[in-house]
Amino acid sequence: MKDLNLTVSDASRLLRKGEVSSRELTEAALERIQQDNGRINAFVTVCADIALRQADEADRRLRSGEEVSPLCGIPMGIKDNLCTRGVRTTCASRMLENFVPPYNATAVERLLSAGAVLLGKLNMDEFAMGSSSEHSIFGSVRNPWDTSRVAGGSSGGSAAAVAAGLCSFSLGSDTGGSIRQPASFCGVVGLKPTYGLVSRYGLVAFASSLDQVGPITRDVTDCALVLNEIAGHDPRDSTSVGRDTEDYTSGLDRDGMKIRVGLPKEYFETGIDEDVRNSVLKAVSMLEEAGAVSGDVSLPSTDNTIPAYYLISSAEASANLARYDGIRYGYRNPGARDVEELYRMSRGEGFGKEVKRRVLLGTHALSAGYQDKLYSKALKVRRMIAADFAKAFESCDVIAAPVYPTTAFRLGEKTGNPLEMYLGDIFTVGVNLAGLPALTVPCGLDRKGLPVGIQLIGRPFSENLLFMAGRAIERRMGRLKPENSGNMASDAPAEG
Amino acid sequence: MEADRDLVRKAAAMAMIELTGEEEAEFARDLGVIMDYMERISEMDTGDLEPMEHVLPVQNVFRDDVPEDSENTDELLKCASETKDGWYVVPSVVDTL
Repeated sequence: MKDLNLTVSDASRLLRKGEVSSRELTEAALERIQQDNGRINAFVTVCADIALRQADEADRRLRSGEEVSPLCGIPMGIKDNLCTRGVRTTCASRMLENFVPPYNATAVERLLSAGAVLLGKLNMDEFAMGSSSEHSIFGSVRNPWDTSRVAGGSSGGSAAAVAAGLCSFSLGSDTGGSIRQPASFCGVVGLKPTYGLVSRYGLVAFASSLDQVGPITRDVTDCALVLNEIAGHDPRDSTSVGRDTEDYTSGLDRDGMKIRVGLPKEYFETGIDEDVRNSVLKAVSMLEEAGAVSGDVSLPSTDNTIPAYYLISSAEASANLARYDGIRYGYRNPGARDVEELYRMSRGEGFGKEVKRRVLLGTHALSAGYQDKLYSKALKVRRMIAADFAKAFESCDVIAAPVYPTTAFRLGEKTGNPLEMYLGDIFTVGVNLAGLPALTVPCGLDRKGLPVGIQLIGRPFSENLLFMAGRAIERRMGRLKPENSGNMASDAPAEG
Repeated sequence: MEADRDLVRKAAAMAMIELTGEEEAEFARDLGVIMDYMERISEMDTGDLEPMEHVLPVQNVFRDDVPEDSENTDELLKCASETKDGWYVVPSVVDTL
């Protein structure tokens, strides 16, 4: 029997040689979803008919001999906050439970034009607000490595689906770590691109100055392949940056990297699990083997990143979510007697608990008497945080850091204590406040057998360098895979 | 505690979110703890730093005003719960005589 559970690059090679068809890959993926999704709850919508139609079209393009993208014919999953034309896009919220967008998000549109096949939509924290994918009307995503644990969040479905082999790659979104942390908890690769590199058009807005769309994949090369398709200027997103296109896969397998790696001393001082620290430091030594030199750097504002992030992101969310009025789309209370009641009831019933909590926090931070003390103050601290990173990058090229203080925690462990849940985001939110790119790559297992990820943070638009560094670790580490992740071939480290 | 409950009531009124009494009590408890932590930021010395709303120099994007095809009106209206003759339906906003 053919092994059809493949990385993007392996599947692409077989498709071009005609050794496998996109229909075969797609049917096999749909079968795996049917068998295994119940266990991890990653997909919330599966669009088999659309997927098979797209697969047949991809096969036609592959056979025609035309120049096609490496993603042509590859099955993918999309986080359920990215609009997909004709396929419901719920944000895991009652508010959008029946919302069927009449258009595609630009990132989705680009992948579909490249010939990628849409298997369905992936579970998440409601409106991307959360760090565990437990705040969802569809129930919690479970970690394929240990189903009593969370998959991370908010892109938990996107990470779990890739880790469990239900799709070759997925898209997530990252406002404060929502791609990197679940990728790390599930032992896969995730990229939060530089702010402005990928269009946000069609991404349901949470905090517009922080949100970025990015790939979650099984390995670094796949991550670069997906970024090649989704990066680039989009006139429909005024914050998307006009830059020349770049091939992010170039030079990935080159060693002899003469780069300087900075270790933020504040990140390693306190409150980090010993196994996580050791795995991250071991990965840094792998970078040294590949030619890098490492040294300490300092990010002195670290203690204030959580308040700055939660005040800014919640303030932006309170403004962005004002659009849900129950009238033009989304949940509508059927019994309201006047317009104001219609707004209040529809929003009260349509939003879940965590979303309400953040909107209230954000509204308070923007209200008269508090705006200067909270919101404006947070924006000033944001400038300090961005300056910390800029200063650190004077003495290094890449910052190596943990993604999260621990590995995946247990389901329900933090839902009763929102502040504790927020505090865990300490190592990821600074990157969003400063608009930087950051890649997470698996770098080991803790003593419970759960994956640990390292976070590689770069200067704006240095994604290619991050991929090179990530690949140097991956080549020495090998890929991590949970048991029961289908019939994926096991692969030993290629060297080292 | 009563101050936290007051904060929640005011914010919910401004954000136009109907809360049950139970939710009000729960959010008052949560936000009390969360704000105690977040307010540490107001003591930071930020000198004369300007607020940073955005990482990019965001500017207004001008373009010529040329008509283009946009989304199909019928499809957009289909997203709404209640429509009539191509319009959204809302409860009456003016008092009847």
